[in-house]
Amino acid sequence: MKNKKMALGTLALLLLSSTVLGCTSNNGNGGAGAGKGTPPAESTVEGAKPEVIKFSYLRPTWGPATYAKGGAYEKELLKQANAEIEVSIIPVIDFDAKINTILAGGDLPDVLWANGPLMERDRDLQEQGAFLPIDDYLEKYPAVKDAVPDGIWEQLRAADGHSYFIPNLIYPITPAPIMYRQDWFEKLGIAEPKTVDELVAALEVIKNSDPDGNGKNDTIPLTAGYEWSFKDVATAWEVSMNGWTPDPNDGNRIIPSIANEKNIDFFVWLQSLYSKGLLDPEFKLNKEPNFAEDKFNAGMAAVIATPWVSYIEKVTKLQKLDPNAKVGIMSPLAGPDGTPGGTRSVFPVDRGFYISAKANDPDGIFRYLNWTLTEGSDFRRYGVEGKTYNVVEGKKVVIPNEQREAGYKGEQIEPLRFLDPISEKLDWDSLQLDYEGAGVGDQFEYVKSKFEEYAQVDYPDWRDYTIASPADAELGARLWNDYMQPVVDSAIISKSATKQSWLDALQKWSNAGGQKIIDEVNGLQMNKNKPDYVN
Amino acid sequence: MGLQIAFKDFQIFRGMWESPWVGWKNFVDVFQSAKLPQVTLNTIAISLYRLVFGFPVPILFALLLNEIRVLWFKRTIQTVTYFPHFLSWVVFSGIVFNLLGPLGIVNLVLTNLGFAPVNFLTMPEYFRSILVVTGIAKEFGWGAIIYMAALSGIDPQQYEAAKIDGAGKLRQIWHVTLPGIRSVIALMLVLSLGGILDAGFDQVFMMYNGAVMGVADIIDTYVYRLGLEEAQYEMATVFGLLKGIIGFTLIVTANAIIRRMGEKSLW
Repeated sequence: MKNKKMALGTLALLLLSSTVLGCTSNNGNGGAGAGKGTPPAESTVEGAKPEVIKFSYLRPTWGPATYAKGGAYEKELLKQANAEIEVSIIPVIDFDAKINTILAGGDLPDVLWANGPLMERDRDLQEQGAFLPIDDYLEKYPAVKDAVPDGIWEQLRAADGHSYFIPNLIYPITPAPIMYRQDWFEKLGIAEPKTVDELVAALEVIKNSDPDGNGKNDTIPLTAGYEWSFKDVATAWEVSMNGWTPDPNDGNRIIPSIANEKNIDFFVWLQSLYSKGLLDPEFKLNKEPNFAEDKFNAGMAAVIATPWVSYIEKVTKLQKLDPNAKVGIMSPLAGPDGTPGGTRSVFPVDRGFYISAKANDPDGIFRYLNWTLTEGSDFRRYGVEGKTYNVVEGKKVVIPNEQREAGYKGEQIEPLRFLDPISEKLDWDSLQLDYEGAGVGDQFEYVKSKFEEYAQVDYPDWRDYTIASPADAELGARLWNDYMQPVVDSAIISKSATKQSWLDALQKWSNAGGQKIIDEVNGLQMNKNKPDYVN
Repeated sequence: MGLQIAFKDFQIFRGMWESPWVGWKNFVDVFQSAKLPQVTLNTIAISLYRLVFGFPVPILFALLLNEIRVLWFKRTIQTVTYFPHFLSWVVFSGIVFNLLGPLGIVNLVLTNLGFAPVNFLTMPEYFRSILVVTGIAKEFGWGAIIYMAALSGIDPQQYEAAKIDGAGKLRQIWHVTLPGIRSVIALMLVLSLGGILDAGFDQVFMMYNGAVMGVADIIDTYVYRLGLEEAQYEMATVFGLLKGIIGFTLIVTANAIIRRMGEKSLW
């Protein structure tokens, strides 16, 4: 009995010590101190063999999560860069939940992707000393600094005057147009729709026809992966999806999209498509991230709302199935009241990464980043000749993903990507080579012209997220979950959802603190001019 | 130790020891949540449905298996019914989606028979039934193992005595088999009651959608969205603590009741 008590006591002591030790390592004061203000060390001693750069790296992937460590591309990259990178990936759909779990565990990788200081959680972590201030390294490695416009560095700078976050830049204009099977439209005698009403009429014809000629009227008229895929269709209602826009009742105030009646009308319109069988019945039900793209590429759907960059993939995959397949891109559709459509531009940063304050070799990490933007720039951008690109008439032409060996496919390369400079974000010459490499070079000017049509009319998010709203930080998530998420998530696919049920929920949201958030955002954000992310 | 997060403004990098105390604030926030009544009701309702309809199934299945005398047939049935237990809900919900989804097999049959397709997974009136039935389908084979083990412990002489007394199969089950495994049934019931606030996160999370959230959103899915997706660890801990207290109370109560009934209890 005594022995049993002793054993239990020892076990309890062990558990207690491991908890305390675990929490101590989570504390991280030492790491933060070590990181803050420490000047970058010299890269290498003159004449000595360069030291291998070693660090761990956690990032999301937008493509298939099939990365296998130690592939051919990875070996070549790490050999050239003299680096050993321990990569972990998170499918982007699970990113927020998983990154929160990892953060709560306190065991941060050396380099980790996050939402950045535009999000309260990351702003808070910066203030707690979780991440390394990078100002000195940016001075030491100007290629990294120059990759990001000065204005973006300035907007992402913390209140303490330091930079912590290296942004993943995106071009602010990223149209999500409606693409369609042009050959089927021609077969059925449907003219390309110019308005949302004409689109509905076209979808009705497709629903009652057999464009693929399989003897059944089973072609899905319209599909899309997410609500966000409709961000540019929503502009026909003057809606900046998930963004803030001027209050129709007071031009000096901005309101979130959930409080914008035109946004509700847009959701009601989508609901009518769903209930009439014009929108994919698996919309918001199928948990497979690429289900809509797969259906369109397999010739099961006639129309898709999708990012413009997916054009090459669609044409090449469809033409494998049917050499006569043609893919058209609709011009921005006009709204029910004639509102001209356009694109919903975005802030030119989509996540990015931090260096942990406890990283063993931050200088090595920056040496590596610097290499990818200088001597390693061509490798970063194009990869390996004969494997990921070919040189044709002196130009580097990218090999389409389907034609590459397994170890050089995009899904093996994406996990090893870090920072691409802003200058590469919309490089038409490079894009033209991509189209030519995929054998659809004759379509390049057509796609470019459609891009320009969308870019002409911009419906941006008017809120400046660099200005923190304490009320939003404290109440925003809970109020969204408690009041608005149920109606927004059910608005399209539920038969019982109505505009009135949305308005009722909005009233409750507003009373519970939503109005306080709107008032605070308007009070803090003095500049309510239309943002221009392109210039 | 981690429970202290429920009483703190948890700051991840400073850790739970360094984070400031906030008293009962997180509990007040939880009880002020407009979703709390709904998710609690849904959790209890789904758990009770599982208990009422799901608890007897493995027992009945074990009784049926016990009567099979052809060994290879018995083993084949056992293997087939155990198998779904080893599939994750990610996979099994995919199978359910392919069966009941808007373009699934059931709808294919319905449309081929001339009926209009039914979007089962978006209909609140069907959703809990789908949850319970698919949950039973996945786990009843595995759940029967413990009863099979209990059945193997019944003395065969009792069956012989019952036969001599003229008992048929049903009488033998009623008077010998069921009393023989009664203590195990009682034990399993106590354990099930303790988990009444766990309505099956994996399954619900994989199968619910916006249209059925009103009847499907349970405490764990709400905590996942707030606690993990929105990084409100304090609220997640408060819910965990409350669930633990309620679960413990239920187990103690059920255990006391069963002990008073003269059955074998947990302690």
